[in-house]
Amino acid sequence: MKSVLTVEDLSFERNNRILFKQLTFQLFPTQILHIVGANGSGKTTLLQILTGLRIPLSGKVMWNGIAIKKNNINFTDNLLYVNHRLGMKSALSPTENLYLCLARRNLIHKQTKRKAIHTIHQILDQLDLKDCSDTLLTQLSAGQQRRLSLAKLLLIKADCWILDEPFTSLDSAGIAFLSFLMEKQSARGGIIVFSSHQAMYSLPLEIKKIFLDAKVC
Amino acid sequence: MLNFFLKFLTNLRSELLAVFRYYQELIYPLLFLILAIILFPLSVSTDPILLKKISAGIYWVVVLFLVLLMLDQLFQNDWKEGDLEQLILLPNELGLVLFVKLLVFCLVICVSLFIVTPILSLSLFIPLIALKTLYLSILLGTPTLIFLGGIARALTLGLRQSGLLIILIITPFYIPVLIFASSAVALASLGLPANGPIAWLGVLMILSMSLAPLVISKILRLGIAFA
Repeated sequence: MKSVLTVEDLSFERNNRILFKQLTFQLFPTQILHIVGANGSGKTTLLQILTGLRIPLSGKVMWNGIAIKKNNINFTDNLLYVNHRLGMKSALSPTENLYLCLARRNLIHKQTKRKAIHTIHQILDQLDLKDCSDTLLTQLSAGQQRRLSLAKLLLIKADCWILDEPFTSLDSAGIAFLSFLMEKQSARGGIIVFSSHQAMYSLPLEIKKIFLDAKVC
Repeated sequence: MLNFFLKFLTNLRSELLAVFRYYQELIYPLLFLILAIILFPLSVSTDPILLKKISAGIYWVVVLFLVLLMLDQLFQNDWKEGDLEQLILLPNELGLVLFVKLLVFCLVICVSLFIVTPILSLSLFIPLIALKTLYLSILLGTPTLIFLGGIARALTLGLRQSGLLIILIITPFYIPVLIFASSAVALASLGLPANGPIAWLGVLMILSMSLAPLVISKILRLGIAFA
């Protein structure tokens, strides 16, 4: 089997402090990687480097054997990145946001608008957000907004999920639902990289872990 | 092609909705424009002959300040909400969506300028024959200001206090627009043809509208904003 996401010799410093050095790993289809670290240990930075948003000091990230900088479009078509920011427009409603998301990813022309809206409503129903499908995002609670950011995981099929602290401000039902989604993604043959400051989550799957220790200066 | 238009329209619709649902933010700059322009007749002189000589310059300097004030809001919400981050991850879409965002911003400023210009031109004694040229100069001049300003905005996106820095970076690049626009209005108010400066404004507009989105998307994808 070929590795899909390969990281070679990655290093990054912030304020003359090394966050990580010579970090090398490979992820094969169906694998899940959990990045554990205290606050300020560089979890978010590492994930941003994996998505290509931030440029590492040295080393490279490869998708299917080609560096993501060279193969940008192929990689980002297969990438879903969810972080603590909303990633959507707070002046629009969940339905409008998700429709915009589909349009930007060129997924509209395959189906009619009504069908797309119908799919979006179904997904919001799964997330218990049906009542708020036309409320503006500013009027939703933090937890509801977090749930909504999960809607993208259901809406768009992507082989690579990069989730930055996905479990924060979710209730237990939300955590269970996210775990279920992650199992399904893994079963489908996708890969997941996610971060949290707690080491343990009760996923019935085998998870690789990387510990970023803040104390090493 | 059809797909492209569909995408353009969907993006345009959402941007317009987002802007008009936060319409309070749009009213303050407009009030600023009215107040700042009314200050000149009050403080300098109400002498029509004197004001006629300097009104074109005053008007365009105040418009420039208005754009500079507004630039701080450009991309601000998109950045805070993480919408821009998601767009950077879609390299095919970034240029188009940036163009739409800047276009909506232009529309908002141009339309509000169009509404208040007749009244303000009265208070500055800009003659009626120059009104058409004034409108043309706004239509062709402000897009250049905004599209160029977008570049400065993208460069300073990750900084906490970016307002003044944007002004320092971009004001020198605004000078040509200021010269052409105010000279067009000044010529027209003397009853002379102003086609030359207006044509130059058009050239600057086409150049900036076509190239600025590409430059901005390159800047954003460099990842400076995350440092």
